[in-house]
Amino acid sequence: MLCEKPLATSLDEAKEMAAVSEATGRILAVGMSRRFFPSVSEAAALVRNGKLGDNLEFVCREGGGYGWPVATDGPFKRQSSGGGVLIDRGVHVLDTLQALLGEPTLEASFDDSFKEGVEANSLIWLRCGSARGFVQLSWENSYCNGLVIRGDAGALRLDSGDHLHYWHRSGNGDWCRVRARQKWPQGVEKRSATDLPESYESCIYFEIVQVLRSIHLGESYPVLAKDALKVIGVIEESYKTAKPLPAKWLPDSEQRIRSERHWRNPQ
Amino acid sequence: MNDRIAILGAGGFLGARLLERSHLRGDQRFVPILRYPRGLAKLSRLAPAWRFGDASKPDELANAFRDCRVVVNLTTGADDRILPDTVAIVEACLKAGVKRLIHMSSASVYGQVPTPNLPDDAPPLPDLWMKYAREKGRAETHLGGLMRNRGLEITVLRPGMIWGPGSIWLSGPAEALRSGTAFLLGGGRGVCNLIHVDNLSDDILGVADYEGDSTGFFHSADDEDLDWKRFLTALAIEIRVDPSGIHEVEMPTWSEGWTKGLGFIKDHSWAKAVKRRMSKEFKLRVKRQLREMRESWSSEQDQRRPGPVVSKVMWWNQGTHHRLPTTAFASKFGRTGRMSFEDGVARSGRWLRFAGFSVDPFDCSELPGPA
Repeated sequence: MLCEKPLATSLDEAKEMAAVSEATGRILAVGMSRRFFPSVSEAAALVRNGKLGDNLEFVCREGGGYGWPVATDGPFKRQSSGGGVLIDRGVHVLDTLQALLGEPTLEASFDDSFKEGVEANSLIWLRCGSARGFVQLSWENSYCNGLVIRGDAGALRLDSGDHLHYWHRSGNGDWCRVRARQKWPQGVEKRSATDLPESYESCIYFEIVQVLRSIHLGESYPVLAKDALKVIGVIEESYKTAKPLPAKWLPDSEQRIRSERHWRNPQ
Repeated sequence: MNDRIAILGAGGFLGARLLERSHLRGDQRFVPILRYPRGLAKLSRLAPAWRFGDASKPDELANAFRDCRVVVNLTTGADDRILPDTVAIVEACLKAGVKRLIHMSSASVYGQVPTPNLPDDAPPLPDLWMKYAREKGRAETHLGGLMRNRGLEITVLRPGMIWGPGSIWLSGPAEALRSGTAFLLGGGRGVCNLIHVDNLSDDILGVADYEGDSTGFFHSADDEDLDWKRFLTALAIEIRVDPSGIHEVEMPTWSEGWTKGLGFIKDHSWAKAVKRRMSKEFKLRVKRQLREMRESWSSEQDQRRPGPVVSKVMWWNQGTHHRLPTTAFASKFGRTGRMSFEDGVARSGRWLRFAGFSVDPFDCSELPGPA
């Protein structure tokens, strides 16, 4: 089975699904399409091969309007969606960070939800493997979007929406824009032809092909249910420990009320 | 009939801020009307009681406007829809017994404002190149013809560029500043007709709560005389960019790039026929190869020291001659507690740094950290 993201809205449910997959020997793949972006795949290799050096830190921002043509207001109700922008976009961002840097662990979480709603803005501080950094997400506003990872030997940058290129620099040198060449199998034959994704849609196509190849040919798939548990756990913990996200640009009176009405405020 | 105020286009920048402010002030009169549920995303933390309404369908809209005394039209759909949607909204207001329609037009109906002290009832300029401005002008003309009718008060506001935290008139220039592509036309002396989102929200509330007949056209702008140099310099300082690096551009008339000049080829029937026969993947491949060819032409030098990126809209806006007077609005509706330019810039700077527009992407000076 290929399950759309997120695998579940709670860690318990996700664990249950992973356990059933394990017990039945059936593949439960999660639709983390960004793993099939050539830029993500090659950036992961760059980090893995130590091109950025040690003492890694990262920042990732994804802000912008909600574009999915949803038919109901279900995505904006905690009861049906499990949360807001963090569970919607954050699950992709956290999975990408896991692919690049290692398993995420939460350090702090802030959001702007009131008691009745779900968050439109979220900030979480994380450790991923040995790297430390933060993620900012928004349904409300465009941010200066992208993922930057830097270490003592260099840095890389992935621009949101560009699945074919990444930016790299060694030391404090100039940034170079690199065309990723990672190709993916086109079919489910044992010696399938390969091709470079041309569009976001073709990344989804290769994702589906890879699920079929893992079923028919026993090949690996990058995110099975058990691999998604850590990310879902971080999101769940983020919601449990969320504090009000300050908005210092607002008048003091509005900042105070926002804080008072925060959904985790017991009063 | 109660005191409810329907906000059409509540999922946009201005609508969302108007609703947030009112919500935080305990003002529960506002009813967001949305064409699609996805418009709730910006409002999701507030979980407002919303109504469904498509601005092109008067019957549906009339139902959404029930119980509302005032309707505020903030819709920002396709340019082609501006006039027909305005017609439909008026029809729906009349059907639902709405008392007052506040329609958001745009200062762009006067192009580069060639005349000083332009009166509020001056007609929109004809034949503007920007379709958005032309269609806004046509909608104004339509509304002007209905203002004499009894039964519905129609108030048309003409804001300039709406700025403030989250605005594209902040994030766009900030991105240009940090990437080294920002420019000033003619020394940046052109008039920058801004209105802060909170000032415009106050203007809308001022009209909504006005006790007399609010009918008429009104310019809506900030109080300061401002030029583009002052605006971009202030933003640059907030995001720690050296303002002396802003490019100076002299371009008295607009000239299209050569690729735009070839645009007419696309309109030929044979070109359309060929395009129809291409698969989506093939088209994407051709586009990618053209893009890569173009990128390979730009040298590494360009990447290190990029030149100015001059869009027609920005070139046009920076060539504005005069500010729009707001004395008519102030004398009719009154104005207090305006956000000054200095205060607005300081607050906007906090938001820009929060949203990552500082030169250093790791700047977290506006973010709360782990304990």
